[in-house]
Amino acid sequence: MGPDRPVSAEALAERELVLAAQAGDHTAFAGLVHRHQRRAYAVARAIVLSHDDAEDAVQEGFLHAFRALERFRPEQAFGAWLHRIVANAALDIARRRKVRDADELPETLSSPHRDPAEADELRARLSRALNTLGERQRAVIVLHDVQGYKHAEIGAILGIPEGTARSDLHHARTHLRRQLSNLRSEP
Amino acid sequence: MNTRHEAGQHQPDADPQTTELLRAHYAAPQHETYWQSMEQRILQRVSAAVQDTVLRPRWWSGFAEFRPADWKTVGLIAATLALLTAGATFVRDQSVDAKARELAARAAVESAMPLPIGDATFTRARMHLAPDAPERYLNPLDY
Repeated sequence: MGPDRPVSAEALAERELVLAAQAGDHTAFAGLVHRHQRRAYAVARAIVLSHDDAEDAVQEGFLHAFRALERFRPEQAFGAWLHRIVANAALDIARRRKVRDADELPETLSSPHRDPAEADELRARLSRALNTLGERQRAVIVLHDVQGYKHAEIGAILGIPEGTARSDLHHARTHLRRQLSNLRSEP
Repeated sequence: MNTRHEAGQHQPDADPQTTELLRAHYAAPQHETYWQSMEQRILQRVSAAVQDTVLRPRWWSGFAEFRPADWKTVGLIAATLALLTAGATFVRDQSVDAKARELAARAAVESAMPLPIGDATFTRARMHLAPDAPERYLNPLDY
């Protein structure tokens, strides 16, 4: 990382927003929320099982970020820092949900209720297959194959080594392929 | 959907059909109104948390509302309590000291007068009486 590395106008604008937010400018923080909420949602949604939990995780993540803003160093990438915080909030929610729902039937757990496409057998099967994946493997496959993150970025978001992200991705793909293959072979 | 993929683009090793299913399953809300509302909710939550932090009463916050007269009363009460505490402490210390002195004195006496039974041999003493002994016991004033 050289000192004369080009910095985009976008990055400069974001840096100004971060510095202003750190100085107590709430409008600047609102600007950061506006810029990052969709990505934050995507990260959270990859980890938790429902849209509602993803919304909670995003709100929780931004709240933690606001409280920790003075500890953020502006030379870092704000997005990566925020995504890590949101991912941690989502992991917390997923764990709490797992404990709360431990006594419920897996079929109940896997149904997102609000999704009208649940009637479709393949989607229902996918939903169940995702539910039987470990939360980290599920997050890795969604972040990689759906959201387009690279292994190293996924490692940074989830706090795991890049190699672990790779092997989780491999296992998750194999698991989903196996779970969905029977249905596809049916006429 | 806000991803880094172009539409229809898949990761090289990923199964396209599974990826399409995953994308449909994880599709984020598309309406701009949803995101505006989400932004508002996030900011409301942050602002509620900030207000809660500022307005939540601390244990010391009540001192700010005290008037000089209140301070005088509080000072008198504190001084009285301090005096009572000091008195009680003094009395208790005196009692403890007295008990300690008594115990020390008792220990000193006991250590100075060891019981003579340490390695003594007990034998039964035999009484040797004078021939007129019964008479002496019966009429002691005559002797």
